[in-house]
Amino acid sequence: MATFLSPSFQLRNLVRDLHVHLGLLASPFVLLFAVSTPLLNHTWIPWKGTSNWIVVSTSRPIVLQEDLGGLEQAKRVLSQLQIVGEIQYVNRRKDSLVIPVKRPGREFRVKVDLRRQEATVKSRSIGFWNKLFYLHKSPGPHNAAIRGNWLPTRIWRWIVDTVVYILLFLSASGIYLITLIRAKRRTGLICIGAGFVSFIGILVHLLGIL
Amino acid sequence: MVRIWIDRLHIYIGLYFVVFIWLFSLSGLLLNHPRWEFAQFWSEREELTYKMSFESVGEAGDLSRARSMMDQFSLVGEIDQVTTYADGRFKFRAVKPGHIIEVVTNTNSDSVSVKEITTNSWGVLHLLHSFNGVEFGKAEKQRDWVLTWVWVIAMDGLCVGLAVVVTSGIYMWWCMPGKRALGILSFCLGTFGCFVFVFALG
Repeated sequence: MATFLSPSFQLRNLVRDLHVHLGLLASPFVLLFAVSTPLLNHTWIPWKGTSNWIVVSTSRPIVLQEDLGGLEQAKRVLSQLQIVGEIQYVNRRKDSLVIPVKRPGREFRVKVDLRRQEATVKSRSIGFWNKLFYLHKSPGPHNAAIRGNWLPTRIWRWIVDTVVYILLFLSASGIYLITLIRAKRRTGLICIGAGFVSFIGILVHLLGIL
Repeated sequence: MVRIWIDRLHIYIGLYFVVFIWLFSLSGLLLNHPRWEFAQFWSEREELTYKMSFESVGEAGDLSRARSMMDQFSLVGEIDQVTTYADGRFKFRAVKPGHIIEVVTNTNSDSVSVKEITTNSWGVLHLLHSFNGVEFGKAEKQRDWVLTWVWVIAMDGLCVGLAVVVTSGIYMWWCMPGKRALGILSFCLGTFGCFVFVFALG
């Protein structure tokens, strides 16, 4: 039977309960990242990739407002076309506006003819694995000025941030809990030390520090 | 006996990967918040440009030519974006976390222009998160530096470790009858949230 040190049982039990329940809460998200990472690292998907583009509609009349900025104009266009998703960027050309839109599982490419005020919409399914990749990388560092223009993207950012904070807590609480179990403390600290040495060893060579 | 081994796997694998978890958690946080002022790195970069002479040894292929130049100049990194222009110029980029090298040469000349870009620690963190030498949709981009492979294997190992820790954790929780009710609530909440984003939003 494991022998515990003196810190109050209440604190130990609280930390252990938080470790268990926060771990359970975060576990599906951690698995999402754990599964998607090796596939991204090896550019391989087991089945059903991205489908071909399908033209959903052409020459849809669009009402444009001239005094709007790129993002607001794009939102207005999407609202009229009843398309929801995260606007990736807005490419304003002389006579056209190109608006790529993505949401988990589907992407759209909207091209607006500014002279005729008409929109052509293409759509395609991106498949289950690409959905995971999209969520793994979302919202991401690119086009920071407009990123989070769709509410679910902002919610996903909050969720992922929360998972990160939970992971940091889980690792810290795990270290705390192992120091309380005399029978496992030594092996636990050796494992932490081995991980630290591995990490530093790889980084020293990768970064060319020495 | 099974419970004891699963308990040990959860604890010891989790503890081994603690530092890796911290790195990817923190770097992931930075990637999702590119506007955090304290973590800016690109505007803080240092650039150094210089010319060097080189000796072509008749390499076959752009990648071999780039690798030969790097060896001659004692540069290291993952070669990226190799381009040969119609006017004879040859350009490539080599990357390692915190350090980017851009080399441009005219194949009719025996000199090259080298630009070295060095970022601060935040830049290193950013690139460590996604440094794998490959990219979906670009089959020509392959890993060519052994340390890139080492880092990728470390990342894959972390993912396997996390999967083991998560599944063993779920098993260990299930073996605690007193915590099942609240645990089911926590697990279902997390699963529901994941389900909405993976399946319902598409």
